[in-house]
Amino acid sequence: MTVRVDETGSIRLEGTCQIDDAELLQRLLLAHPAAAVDWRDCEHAHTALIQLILAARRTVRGPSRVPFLEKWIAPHFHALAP
Amino acid sequence: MTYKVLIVDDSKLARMAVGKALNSLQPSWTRLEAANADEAIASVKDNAPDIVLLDFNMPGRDGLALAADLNKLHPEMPLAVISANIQDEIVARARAIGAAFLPKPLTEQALADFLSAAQLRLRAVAR
Amino acid sequence: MNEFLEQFLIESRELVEQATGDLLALEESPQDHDRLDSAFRAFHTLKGAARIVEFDAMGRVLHAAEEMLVAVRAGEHPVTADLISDCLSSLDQVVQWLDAIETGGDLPTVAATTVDALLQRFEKADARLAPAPVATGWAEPLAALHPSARTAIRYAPDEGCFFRGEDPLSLLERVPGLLALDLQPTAPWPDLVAIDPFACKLVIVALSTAPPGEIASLLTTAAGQVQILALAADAFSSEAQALLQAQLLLVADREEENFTGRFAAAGNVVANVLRAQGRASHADALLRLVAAGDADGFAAALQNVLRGDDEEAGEIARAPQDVVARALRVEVERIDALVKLTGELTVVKNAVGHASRLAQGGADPTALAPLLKEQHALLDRLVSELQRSVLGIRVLPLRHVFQRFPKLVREMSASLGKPVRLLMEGEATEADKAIVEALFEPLLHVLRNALDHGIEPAESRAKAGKTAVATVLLQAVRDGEHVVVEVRDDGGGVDLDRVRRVAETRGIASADALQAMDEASLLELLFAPGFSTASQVTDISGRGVGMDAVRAAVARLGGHVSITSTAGHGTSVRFLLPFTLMMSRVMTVESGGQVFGIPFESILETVRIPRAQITQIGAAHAFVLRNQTVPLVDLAAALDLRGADEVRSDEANIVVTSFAGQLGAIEVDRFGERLDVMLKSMDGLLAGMGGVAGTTLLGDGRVLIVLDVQALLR
Repeated sequence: MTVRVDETGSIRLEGTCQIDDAELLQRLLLAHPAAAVDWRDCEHAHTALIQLILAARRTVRGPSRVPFLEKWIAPHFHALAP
Repeated sequence: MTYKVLIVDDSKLARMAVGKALNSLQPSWTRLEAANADEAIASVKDNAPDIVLLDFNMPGRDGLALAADLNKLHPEMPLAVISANIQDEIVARARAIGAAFLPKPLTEQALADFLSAAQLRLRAVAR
Repeated sequence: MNEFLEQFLIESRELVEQATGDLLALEESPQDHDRLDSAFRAFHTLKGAARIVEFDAMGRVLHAAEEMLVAVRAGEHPVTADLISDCLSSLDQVVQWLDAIETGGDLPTVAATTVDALLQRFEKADARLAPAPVATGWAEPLAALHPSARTAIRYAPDEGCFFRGEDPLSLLERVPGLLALDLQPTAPWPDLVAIDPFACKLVIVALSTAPPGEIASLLTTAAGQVQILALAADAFSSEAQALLQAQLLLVADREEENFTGRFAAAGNVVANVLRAQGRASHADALLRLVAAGDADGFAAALQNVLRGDDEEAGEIARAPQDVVARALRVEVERIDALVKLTGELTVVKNAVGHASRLAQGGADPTALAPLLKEQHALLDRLVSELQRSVLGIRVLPLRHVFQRFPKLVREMSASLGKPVRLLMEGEATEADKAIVEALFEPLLHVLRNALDHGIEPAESRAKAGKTAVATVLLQAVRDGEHVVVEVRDDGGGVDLDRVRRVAETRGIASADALQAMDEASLLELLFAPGFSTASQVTDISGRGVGMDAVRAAVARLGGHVSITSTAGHGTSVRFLLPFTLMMSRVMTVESGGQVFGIPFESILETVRIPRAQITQIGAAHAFVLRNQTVPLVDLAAALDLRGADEVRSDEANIVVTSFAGQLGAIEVDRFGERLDVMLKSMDGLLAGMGGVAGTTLLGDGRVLIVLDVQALLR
């Protein structure tokens, strides 16, 4: 279970998020159109997931614990203050 | 769900390396090994692996030819051709068969990516 | 050494052998596609193996060689002698690296110059692979913002890439020195619900400070989807350049006061400048040199960085950590055998303990005897098995030394203009590691001689009705406790008249003595010191190193070299070597009431002669054996063990030995028996004692001193 909706209503990415999480993420994004994505506990996010977050223009709660994601991917998202 | 993975490579060192990566990603999966195309075909018939990782460069039939044969036998079986020789032509031919192309030496990340894609495919077939 | 490195060594040696054979065959028949394929596969698998164990330098060299073979397969490059040479050179380097891994137990530190020199040979292949010009408009907007970028990347993954397990962004995560990364959809995003989550619809543009080549090799899996562009801003800004130059001057004058402080300060400035220029790895490397107090290394590395020779900088920086350990690679089976033996020995130990308790308890000795005898037999078997196993750990196949010769012989053949085919047999023959490793130089010398002097010029061969291509056979055979290594050529044989002339002009023997000499004695002269500094010094045979050096080197290994020659048919040089260095067969002799051992390999024969036949020449003694005068040393006298008034028997017992081509003899009081002993070299107080080769323990607990015959007769 690496993609879920938490008690605050955010869609959380946790641990290693692989390609097979993409379908679920898409369903959750569709089901929770106002939910932010929280990727603070995400250790790896497959390109497919990043693409979905971009396409959904969803706000993302950071910072990511992965330097690469934080430095190079996060700036492309709508950021939300932590 | 655990799967059976067949590793085909004429180099024992390479099989060891792939086996190690596989073991650290999916310790409960079954690993099978074959040192050439004929052994691989025999193993596919006898052991019915779910996923096959093939070295491109082998004496006799090469990995792409073997992948094409396996693809004919089992069109839905996820295949990955592993090669240190990353020529566009080989990458393209692998893609044409529907096989993934993985660089040699195989990194755990590359294998992890392929295995999750493979599981995706196997689950889709099972449905 | 881990199991991967072990397997790597095993496979790599086999592959080098395969590739070498294929290349040489290919040179003879360039149209042989099977050989070409086989060579290509061997190089390719070697490269793969190098990458598995993360031996980058080897991977790069083999990659370049492989690219060359790819071009040949594609019909873009013919099989030329140069091409074969280049490929063989890379294999030769690989063998040297393998040897270094074997001794060091780990990957060796490789100088960038070594790799560069090899890579340069394959530049033609690189030129062929230069990318076609591509549209580059995509790079400009981003590059304008980042003047220090060296490389621009445009990555347009195809839609189905996720299904093949590709993850484009995680691939880019591996790119070092990222300066910028731009993500764009291939088309404006549709509604979320209409998106196929498993289709990739991104285009990624990135900039990096890393060189284009490095990035290309990281992104090879995405071939066809990636464009890589070298940007002009590949140098330091002028301010940075000036700052770095200034630091270089600062550390130049080491005599000045407070150098250490200045060195540290300069180091910090350099590191900061380099970091600002996106060269963090260089900064780290140089700081390590500062920490190591290596000002010379620092200056050299910094100069390389300034020259843009960045790999050199990295290599130099790594050098101080280069510590090589002595280690031995041992197959697991051999260790298992030892463990098993240890167990069996423990059982026997307990049995002997039981017997000794019985003896202590007053048991009947005649009843104990069969028990002890049985245990002795068991111990005997186990100890010899243990000996064999321990010695087995030290063995290596001769392949280790043979492997390098095909290439070297080929080069010699080319430079002498004498076509030669080298045949090798018995590469799998094993010998003590120390012996195998010491054989390279002597064998190389003998091979050089064979090509230089043994094999005739083409005209002479044609006249003699011989094939234009000469044959040199390098062969190893196990013969009981010995290993025989032989170099045989099909040349003209040793020119005995020339030997006579050279020996005379060199003052090695008189003209009369030379005329009287038989063929064997004349051939022995080739081993005489000073013989090889012959009139015709060529590049190949070299200067100053002659067959005397070969014989001395082989003698140090406890071996012996001999030459046979058949006029018109060729020369054969034969190395007779002990299988192991530790196990020696000695003959015991008695002199002055003490027992000594004489190494069996130095004994030619034992004779018993009437004392009257011994003549005194000055202070020395000699006798005539089959028309040859042999100097004689009385062992007891030489060791000061002879009583002044001792009555000598009418017959003298004499051991005839040979060293450096000379006969010599030792008189002993009595001949003893043959023994196989584990020779222990002298250490502690006895180290450096002349005339003694080593010691061993005798069955009755006495120490047997084994004589160094050469030193004794000198």
